[in-house]
Amino acid sequence: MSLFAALTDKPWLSPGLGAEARARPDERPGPWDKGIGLGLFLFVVTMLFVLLTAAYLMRMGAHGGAEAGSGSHGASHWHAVGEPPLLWINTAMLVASSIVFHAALTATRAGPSLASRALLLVGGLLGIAFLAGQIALWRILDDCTHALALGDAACAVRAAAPASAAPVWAANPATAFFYLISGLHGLHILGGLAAWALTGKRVLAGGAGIVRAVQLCARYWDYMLLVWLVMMGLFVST
Amino acid sequence: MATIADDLRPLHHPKSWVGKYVWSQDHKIIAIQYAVTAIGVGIFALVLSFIMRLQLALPGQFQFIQPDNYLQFVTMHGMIMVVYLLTALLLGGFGNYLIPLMIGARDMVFPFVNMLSYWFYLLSVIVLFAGLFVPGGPTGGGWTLYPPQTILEGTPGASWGILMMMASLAIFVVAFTMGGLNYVTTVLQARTKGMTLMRMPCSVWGIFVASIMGLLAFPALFVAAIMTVFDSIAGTSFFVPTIVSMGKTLGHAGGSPILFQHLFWFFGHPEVYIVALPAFGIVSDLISVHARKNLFGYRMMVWAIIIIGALSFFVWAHHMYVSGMNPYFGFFFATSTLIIAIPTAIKVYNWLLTLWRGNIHFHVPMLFAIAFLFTFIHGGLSGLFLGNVSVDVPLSDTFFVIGHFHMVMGVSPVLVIFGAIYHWYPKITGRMWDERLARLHFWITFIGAYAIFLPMHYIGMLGVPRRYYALGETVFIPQSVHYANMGITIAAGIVFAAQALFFYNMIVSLFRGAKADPNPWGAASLEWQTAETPPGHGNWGATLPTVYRWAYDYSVPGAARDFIPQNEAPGGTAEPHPS
Amino acid sequence: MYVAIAIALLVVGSVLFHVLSPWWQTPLASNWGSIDTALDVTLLICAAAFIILNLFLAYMLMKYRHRPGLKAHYEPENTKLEKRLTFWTGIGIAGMLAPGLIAWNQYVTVPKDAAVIEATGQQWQWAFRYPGADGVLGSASIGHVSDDNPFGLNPRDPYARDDVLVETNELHLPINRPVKVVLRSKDVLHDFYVPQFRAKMDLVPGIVTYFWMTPTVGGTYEILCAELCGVGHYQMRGTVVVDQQPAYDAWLAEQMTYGQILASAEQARVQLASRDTPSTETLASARMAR
Repeated sequence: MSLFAALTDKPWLSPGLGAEARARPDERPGPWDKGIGLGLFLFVVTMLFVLLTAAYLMRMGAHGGAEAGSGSHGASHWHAVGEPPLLWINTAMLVASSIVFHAALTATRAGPSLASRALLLVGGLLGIAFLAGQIALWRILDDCTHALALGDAACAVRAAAPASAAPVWAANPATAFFYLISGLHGLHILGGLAAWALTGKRVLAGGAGIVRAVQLCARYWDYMLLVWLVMMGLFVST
Repeated sequence: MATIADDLRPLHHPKSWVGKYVWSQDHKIIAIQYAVTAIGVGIFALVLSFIMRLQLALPGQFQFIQPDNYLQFVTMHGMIMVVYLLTALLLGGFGNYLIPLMIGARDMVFPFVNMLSYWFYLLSVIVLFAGLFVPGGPTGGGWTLYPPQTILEGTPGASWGILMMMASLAIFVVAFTMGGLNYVTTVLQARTKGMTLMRMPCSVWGIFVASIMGLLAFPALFVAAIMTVFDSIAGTSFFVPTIVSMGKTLGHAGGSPILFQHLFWFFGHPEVYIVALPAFGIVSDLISVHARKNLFGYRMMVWAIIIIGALSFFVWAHHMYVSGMNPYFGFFFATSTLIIAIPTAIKVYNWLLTLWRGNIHFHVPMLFAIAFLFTFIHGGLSGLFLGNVSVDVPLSDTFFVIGHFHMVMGVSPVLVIFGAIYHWYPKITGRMWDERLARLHFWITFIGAYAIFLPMHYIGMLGVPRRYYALGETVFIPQSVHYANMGITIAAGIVFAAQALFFYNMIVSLFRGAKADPNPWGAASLEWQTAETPPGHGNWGATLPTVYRWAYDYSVPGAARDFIPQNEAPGGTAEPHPS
Repeated sequence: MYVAIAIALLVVGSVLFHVLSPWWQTPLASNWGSIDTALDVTLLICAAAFIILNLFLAYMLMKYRHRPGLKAHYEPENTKLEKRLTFWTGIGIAGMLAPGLIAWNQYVTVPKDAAVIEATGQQWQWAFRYPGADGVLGSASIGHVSDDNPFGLNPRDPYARDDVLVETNELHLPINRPVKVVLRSKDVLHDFYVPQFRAKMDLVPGIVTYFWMTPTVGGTYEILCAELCGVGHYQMRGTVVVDQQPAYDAWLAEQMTYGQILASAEQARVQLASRDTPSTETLASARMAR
């Protein structure tokens, strides 16, 4: 039954059981599938990053300020993050992680094997490597000596606002957004790693439902990759 | 309880008292934990409101209410009532208790996550209260927490208080997300055999749609909270432009205070409906049961809930007509805001038409439902003034706003909550409350609350601004306003004291109340058809109920009784429920 | 049954309260009669809905109260009735929205001939600026704010030199001339609110906001802050005096311009400090370079 048909049904006209209901068992055995729950969670995550994107764009549009003619400050403070090489390396790491998770899924489907376990392990380790790379990137963006090599965005801001007690990254709103967004994304990867660890435990223990667990893990990873690619596109293109 | 169920589904059966009542994964226990915590913090916020009333009645007479304290009380009162009481109680409390029972499930789909949800909620409450004791005290920025004010000196709690508040809110969002995922997934996945979407009671519909809205809206609060913390601690300039505060130029530059307002109200307006929709749903069921009549226009009621939920994401800037945002937005948001009044009005008509040619029993839950209709009509209509953009200009930030939102999302949902507690108390505890105390509680609360908030609309019309510690010498404010403030405070004191009747009644009845009938109101919905009262672990004994009809078969022509339970097969053979 | 009587009495009581209570809008002192009209239309429609719906509620509670033998009517829905109700509600909503939007259109359309006056807010006081002889407000920015330059005027902007600065919380306006009030804040959100004018707008740090109005009744009114701005929010008061044109001109002529303030500050500095003191110009340009 389509959703529209379901929602326009006049429930008082047809007491009894429909064909669909008669066909199903009284009670479904086993634990609930987590697919719907995960889908909903990714929905929430989408909302979070959509709002961050909106805030990024609004803040970018707001700089300069309509301040009675001489809006000299503000505009000069927005310097795009640019394209530090490590950004691409980290991204490659996450892409690789996602690919390996899919390989692990294919291997798990074929039956539990050493290869499937090893692939699952490698996928997670690549995720950890991505996080480590992100932390290194944060340090670079907060350091003027490195930033000079990056088109001196951050340090131009630092020089423009000597009064500011804020760290280098905080003085440039574009970098601040980078910290905020990549930080929240990193937290989601961290959560994914926790799920990965639990999945690994289940895979080692064996039993039913392993394939589904690995599948959901891979799905989450794909989604986090997608989120990251969109966010990176935002940073690189603006 | 039969053990067949245990073979079918590996429910977590706790052995010890701690496992059963503290680290419980049973949705009913979690619901009670949520409800008790929420009501506890609610009482604290109620005390704060009374302290504020004391100051307004007798300005400057109390040493412990200085201007900074007053703002702290305002902020804590508002935030607790909206988020930590109403949201937590309606979704965490009623949502948890009612969803599985009303749709015929044994528990939530993810009981462990459900348990975590409560403990994160409790943590957010603890952090909130810890904020009372940090240097500088809690934040006094108003519940809207607008920067740059909240993070600048000149506002109480600008350094530590605001951080504690934001941390608490962020934790609350995490807790809500865990709970909300459960409520939505459970409704989608765990409905029993025969329970189609359109056979669900309106209570479930309201909670279901409100949960989806919460999942969409709370991230905005989360983002706003974290960005404020960045601005405050790290010195970023998301929301804070160049500022001269107390003679010093601060290091921020280029931030946009209005960006925060957009984020806040993108959460804040749906939040109003996150509170309202469960109340709408519950009151629909109360009216139908106690009028012994099917809910009039059930389909329209469900659609209205969905439409209101969807539209509420397109009206947020009606809180910002005079905020300095692009004034042309006003045309769009005024129109969308007034359009949302149409499905809301339809709900009101259908509640009234449910009573039409009914058989109305004035049980205590019904009295509260009727009182809700009155206050909601009043509060809903006064909202049209504020939504109607140019009419909002003189009224915004006056007492009119206070009168309006307390009537529509303070008094109205709270009346529904009281009604709902009286209604389901026999099922939850297996005992009845004292009738006379309950009626007394109703009359004082209903009349008293109206006496508190009706005059505020008029004081606001005059132009008296809100969030003022004292009105001082102001020419356009006559002496009579001060008398009105005293009158309101007296009414507030009486209503405040009358709540003791409620708590006394609830607690004493727990031990001494008469044993309740399993279905004292003759209700058709599924939660009243459980084998045990209160329902045991797993809710349904050996087999899950099968649903053959909608939840509103009252006074069906030709039926033997004036209601037909949802799990009664069409042949008239009531399904004997094995216990 | 008592509740039916109570609902009916509350309706009657509310109407009586409306008629008898001494609290209603202050007498209008500006051109914003259209806002009051929109409010009156909204009130009329809402009051009608309030009275009809609640009296209908009370009537039903009385008529269909439970008595032995009474059985409720069975009627799941009535699509025709629901459609009709939706239609009439839509009419009512449109009826109040139309005057609201018309008034808003006027509110956001500033007349070309409106005089420009600036109000600046800071915790917890008001200051005002008039454009001076050239009729143009000089550019200003919070970045320029200092002890010598509390308004943050751009020292290099020639338009700023003749701006008239008033730091006394007292604003004067000429009667019957449209005025665009430009709003700036140095620190937090504030809101310029004079109940008798009906108009209101937030002051937002970082941007310039505005509203316009025409004062139509002479006299002295209070300016209140209507956006929470800290512990002194309730004390952030100002005064607006609506003058006849001659009185207004006379008052304005007594106020200091930015150029005069700069000159007198310079004089004081020359008298007080040693000759090493840099001139205002170098101070200002040093600030610019930052």
